[in-house]
Amino acid sequence: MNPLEELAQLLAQAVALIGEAASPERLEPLRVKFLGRKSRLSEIMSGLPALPVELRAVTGKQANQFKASVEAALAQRRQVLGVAPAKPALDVTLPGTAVPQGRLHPITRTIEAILGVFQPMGFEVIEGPEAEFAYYNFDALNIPPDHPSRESFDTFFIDTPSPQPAKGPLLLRSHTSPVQVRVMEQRPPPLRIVVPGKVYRPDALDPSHSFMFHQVEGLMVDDRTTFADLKGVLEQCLKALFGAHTRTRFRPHFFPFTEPSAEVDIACAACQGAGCPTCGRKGWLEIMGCGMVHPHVLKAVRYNPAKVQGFAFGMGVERIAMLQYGVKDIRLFFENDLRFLSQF
Amino acid sequence: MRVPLEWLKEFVAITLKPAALAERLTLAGLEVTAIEGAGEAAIFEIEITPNRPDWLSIIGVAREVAAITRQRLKVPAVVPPHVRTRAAEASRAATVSITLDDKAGCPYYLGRVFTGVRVSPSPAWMQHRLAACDLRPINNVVDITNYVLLETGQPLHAFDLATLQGAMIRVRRAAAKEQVTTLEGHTHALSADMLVIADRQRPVAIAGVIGGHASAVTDGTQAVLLESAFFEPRTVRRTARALGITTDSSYRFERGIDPEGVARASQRAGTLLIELAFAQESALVEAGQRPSTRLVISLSAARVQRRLGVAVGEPTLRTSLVRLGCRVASRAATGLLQVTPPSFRRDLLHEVDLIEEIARVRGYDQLPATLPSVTLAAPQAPEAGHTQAQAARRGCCALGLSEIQTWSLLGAEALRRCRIDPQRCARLQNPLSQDHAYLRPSLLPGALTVVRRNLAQGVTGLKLFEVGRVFQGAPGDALREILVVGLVLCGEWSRDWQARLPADFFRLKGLVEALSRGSRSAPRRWQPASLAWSASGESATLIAGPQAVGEAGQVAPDLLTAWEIETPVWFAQITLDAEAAMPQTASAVLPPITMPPVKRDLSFLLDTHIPFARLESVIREAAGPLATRIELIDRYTGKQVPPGQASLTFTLEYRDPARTLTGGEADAAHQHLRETLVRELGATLR
Repeated sequence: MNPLEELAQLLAQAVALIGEAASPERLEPLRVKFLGRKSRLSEIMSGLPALPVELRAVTGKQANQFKASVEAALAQRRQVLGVAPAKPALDVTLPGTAVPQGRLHPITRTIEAILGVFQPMGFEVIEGPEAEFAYYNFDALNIPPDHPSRESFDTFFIDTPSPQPAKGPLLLRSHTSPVQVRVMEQRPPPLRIVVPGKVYRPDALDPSHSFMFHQVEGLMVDDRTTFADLKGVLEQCLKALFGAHTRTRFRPHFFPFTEPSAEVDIACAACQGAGCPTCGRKGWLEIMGCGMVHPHVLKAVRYNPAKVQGFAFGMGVERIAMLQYGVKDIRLFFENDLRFLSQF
Repeated sequence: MRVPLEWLKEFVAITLKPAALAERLTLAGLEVTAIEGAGEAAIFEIEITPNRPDWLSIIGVAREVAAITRQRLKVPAVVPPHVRTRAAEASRAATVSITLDDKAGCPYYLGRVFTGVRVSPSPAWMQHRLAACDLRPINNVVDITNYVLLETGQPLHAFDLATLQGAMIRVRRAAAKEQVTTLEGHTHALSADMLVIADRQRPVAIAGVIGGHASAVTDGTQAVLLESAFFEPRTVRRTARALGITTDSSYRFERGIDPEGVARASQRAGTLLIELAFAQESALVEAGQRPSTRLVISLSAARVQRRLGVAVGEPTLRTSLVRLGCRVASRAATGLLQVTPPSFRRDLLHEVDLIEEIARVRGYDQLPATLPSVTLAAPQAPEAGHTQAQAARRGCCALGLSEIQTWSLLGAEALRRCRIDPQRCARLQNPLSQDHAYLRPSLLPGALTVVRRNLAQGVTGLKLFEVGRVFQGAPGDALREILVVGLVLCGEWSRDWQARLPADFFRLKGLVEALSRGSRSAPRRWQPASLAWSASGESATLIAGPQAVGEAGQVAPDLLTAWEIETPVWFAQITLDAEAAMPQTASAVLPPITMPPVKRDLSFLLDTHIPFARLESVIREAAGPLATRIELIDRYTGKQVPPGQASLTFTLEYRDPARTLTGGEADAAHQHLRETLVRELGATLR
């Protein structure tokens, strides 16, 4: 038989057999049969030099085509039968390459959450100095010297001469309220500001006290803002922070710089106000202080209390973070153990 | 303050259960923080704000309970004084003279003299009530003064009359070098601004604060001088604070007592002395005048509405205030209510104080909650400090660093361990502890504290940052507060099954550069520096424009030894204020060049003493504007390279923005560059 015709027949036979192979194991004997060293192809190839010249070239070409076609058929059948390709597949379950992942401190996150409530309501964010004059920390806020109301604001004084003796000695601010005064001194109403920042009080470290902590202060003054508005804004704030169903309670309190003054509680999430160990059996958790800006404070910044009114509030960031995340010890925030920080 | 329910019930009918009463009190501003015991035996722990000294007594709390539950207050009948009848029988010695030398410090002083006193333990019911309020029973005379203080809020003091030299009382400022030994046995040196109760010769008590040991009532006392007085709040406060003494008496005087309660409390105690100590009243001496409390405040219903956001009718205003003990009249001409607060409400001074009372009596929860309608103001430029801080936080986070927050207050030891001289740091006058006495001048000590803690806990591969204020200025210098960001690397930057990337100086530098990339500040120069905290040759100062804005480097290993840290640490601190101060104008951008580049590589040997910054500027200048990309792709020092030299390989792309560059043009530029490197820097081309 003419080798060309023979190759054509063999190809038909090979394609048919490969197409019928029921499993990958059956393919290898077929490869040996049609392409192996003892195959007919091999014989034809080794017989090429003996062929007449005119047939030699075309037969060689045909043999190569035959080889390529059989290999293609094998590969295709292998794929159909689900045999892994020659390159080993990725183990896609191996861990991905480590990408360092940065995290914000929980206090920063909580501050951002609080600011995120007020900024859309048009409150500007302002930070003031941590080293403050006694005038702004106390006097301008209607906290006179030698007055018991200073007691709640025990303060660290700085051993550096005051650059402005008229504003009293330098201290570490014991609350963020002095920034209210600084801003009102500089700008006329209407004003809506929120002030995040560090504050300092000489409280010994324990699970619920720290000599350094954070507050967010708010101030809204114009010609019409009422106590009812204060309630409305803070209720929205607490719903945003603690969930839409959060119940709030305003109770009379005393702050020298506001009148009327209130403390705001939220119903304990654990017991819904019934009283449990989480809330110390009170049913409510104290969350912030607030009130209508005292006319004395407005006078101190040369606003006319007959025309200008508004509210101020202040909340402890650590306290809110502790309630939101169930943290029982304030010191964890400042120990900076990454096993703690990486959970936020 | 502790308030036993059964005592409260002496003055007002209470049908509410303790928990319900506690809630009502809390919502009225007397925050009940705990209820001890149950039922009739309940004792309320109440937190009383400094503006309400009138609540610092059982009757004061009962008065509020009566007002909020609409009950009548039952004040005990006071037996009228026996002075006139008994005084005649008394001996001449059993009286006293009282002089007020300082009427500002003590405008009013009432002394009662009792004779025939039999000092003995007080009756069980009294001891029981005192103990319930955490007061230790002593004897019947002292107990009576304490009992009446708790009941009425008026502090009283009993002197053993026999110990008062000259049978006289002088209320005066202390003289130089005077001292008093108190009831507690402590001797205090007095200063001239302190008010004392003195006899003819010496101070026998510190006015309003504490009695003296020498004049105390003892078992042998037969005649007693009972003091009931009004002391000026600030004087008492200053004295108590200067001496570091807080007593039930000073606590009340500081906050202000009811001037009209002085006589009543004196009478009440007198009655009890007669009843329980078999005393006879032999004299009553009054000195000075009761401070006047008559103050009339105008109240406008319109202003109540304006402030609270809800209309309150005049009849409601009137009944609310009357229930609180105010007298209310209305003036038809003005339509204003004329309100006279009771003598015990020294906190009611202005209209807003009355408005708060209206809101309080109505119940804050009964007031509406609304959202304000606002007047828009022109937008202000965002405040630099907060914007800078937030941008730095977000930037660091995006670069894979985790935020820490460390103490702003540090101890001398932590500073010294970072080679910072505490003498050069601002410090607190009144630190809580020596570990937190200085204002931090750098974030480094806090950072190393965190590194040590985490390493000790087995947490490695630390990539941290902090954004916060540091303080510069030694005591006596001006204090500067500076917003900075600190970066800390310790151990591996990243580590997984394929690769381990170590932290090193260039990792730190890359982070610092990436962080400032978005900030459009002036280009930064990294200048070799010798910083106290870093080993020599391992650190740099960052320069922007004319000024240093930060420092970066490897923390000196021997410094780390002092911190017990064995893993290398890299640290950088950059000032954020300086960036904020720079103008933030947008600069024009160019469209990308689409003409094809011609790439050429460049390899040469160079002396390692030549800084890369110099090499880079030579290349940039020599390669000319056609070189659109110049990238160092390899730097090698070692065996194949002569000592003191580094093998450097750059890849460059030449492009013309307007047309396709030919190979010949690029070669010309490149050849010029090669020659320049040899000529100017002595490079050996490879």
